[in-house]
Amino acid sequence: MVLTEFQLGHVPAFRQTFIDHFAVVGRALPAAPGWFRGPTGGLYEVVLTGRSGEPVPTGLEVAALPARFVPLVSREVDQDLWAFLDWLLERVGPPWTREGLRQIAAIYRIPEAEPGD
Amino acid sequence: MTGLAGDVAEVERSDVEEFARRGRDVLVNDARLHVLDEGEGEAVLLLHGNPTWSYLWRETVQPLCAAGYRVIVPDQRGFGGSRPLGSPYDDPIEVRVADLAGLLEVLGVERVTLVLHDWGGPIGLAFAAAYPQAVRALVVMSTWAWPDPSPFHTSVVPWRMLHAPVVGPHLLGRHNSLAGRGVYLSVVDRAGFRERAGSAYADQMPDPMSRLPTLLFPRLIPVDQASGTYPFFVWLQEQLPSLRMPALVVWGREDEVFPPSYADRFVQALPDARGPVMVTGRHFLQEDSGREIGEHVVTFLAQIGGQES
Repeated sequence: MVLTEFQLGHVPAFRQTFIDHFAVVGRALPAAPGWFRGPTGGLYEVVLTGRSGEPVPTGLEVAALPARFVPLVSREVDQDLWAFLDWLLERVGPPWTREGLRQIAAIYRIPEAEPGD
Repeated sequence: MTGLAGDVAEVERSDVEEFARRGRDVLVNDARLHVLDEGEGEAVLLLHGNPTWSYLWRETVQPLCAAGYRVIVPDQRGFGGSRPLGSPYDDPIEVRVADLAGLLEVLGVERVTLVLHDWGGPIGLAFAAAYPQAVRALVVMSTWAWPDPSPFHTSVVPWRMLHAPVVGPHLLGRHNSLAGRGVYLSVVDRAGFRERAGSAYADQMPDPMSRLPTLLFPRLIPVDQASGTYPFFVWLQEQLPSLRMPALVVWGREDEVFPPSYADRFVQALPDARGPVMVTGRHFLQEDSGREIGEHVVTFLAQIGGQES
């Protein structure tokens, strides 16, 4: 597991993005997880999670799927997750924007977001 | 030169570890809390917020002990040497208020002066409202106690994006951005901070799961009436006029998280408040003025009667 989000609905627009993308209906979670391949070539599984008493999906887990017996390289995982965030912020909508994400990354000096990385 | 850099890092680690070793573990509210408990006399409890631990108060402890006070400095659950959070659902504000009540009971303290910073503010003030007979006096700094958010906390950049869904677990979890660069950006003397504190806050949270409370606390700050903690802060604001114990307001002149106008708001809201005393400091004002803050608290306690009989 390389990223765990427990409170997707902390900002409802973020949860709605995943509801739309996975075509979630009612409280039923998708039968299959989603996948994405990051810019380093890494493959990841995206799993939506639920919790009694909370709107669905409640959370989200991203798990790396490396080749068998091959250790992860954190820097590459960070680069791939950054691409996932970029994909997400492109869809959530204002005031949650990719530009805002980049501003935050600059303030906090996130290596994988630096130009030329 | 490599050896020199290694030596400096070793000294920094040693200072932090030495501070941590001065405390002990106690079982409180079904959790293990780490607490520094030094000096003898009336009790003064220093309560940190997010993303710090008792180390934040290291310069404030000595003047209080020297003046004849028992100084109690807990690490809140999930921070410092206290038990990591077992679950994100294990962290409502009310549990932390109960931690405070349980800690004082375990330590045999019947009456205490509370010195409160950041999230220590709402937690300690709620304790004072629930147990007014147990609170001798209050000192509040760089905090809040009402449902309307500060301009900083309503901003998408730099604040809300930092802990937004999925973004937060990456920036605060994988990169430890709040305990690392976040604290560094919120002090005045950054070069001095790097030298004095180094990575004392970031190092306490070595992996994404241990950094969970740095993500959860920001999400508990109400930004509108739909926020889950909005009713708590409405209640807390309503309690302020009933907190009749003497209070001192201390604030950082350069605070950008809670502007100095918040200090005036506390002075007006608390019936027996004095101040504000302004010191050099951004949000983590103890890093710039820790000892001076301790001296202000000593003076304040002397003014309101010194050692109670």
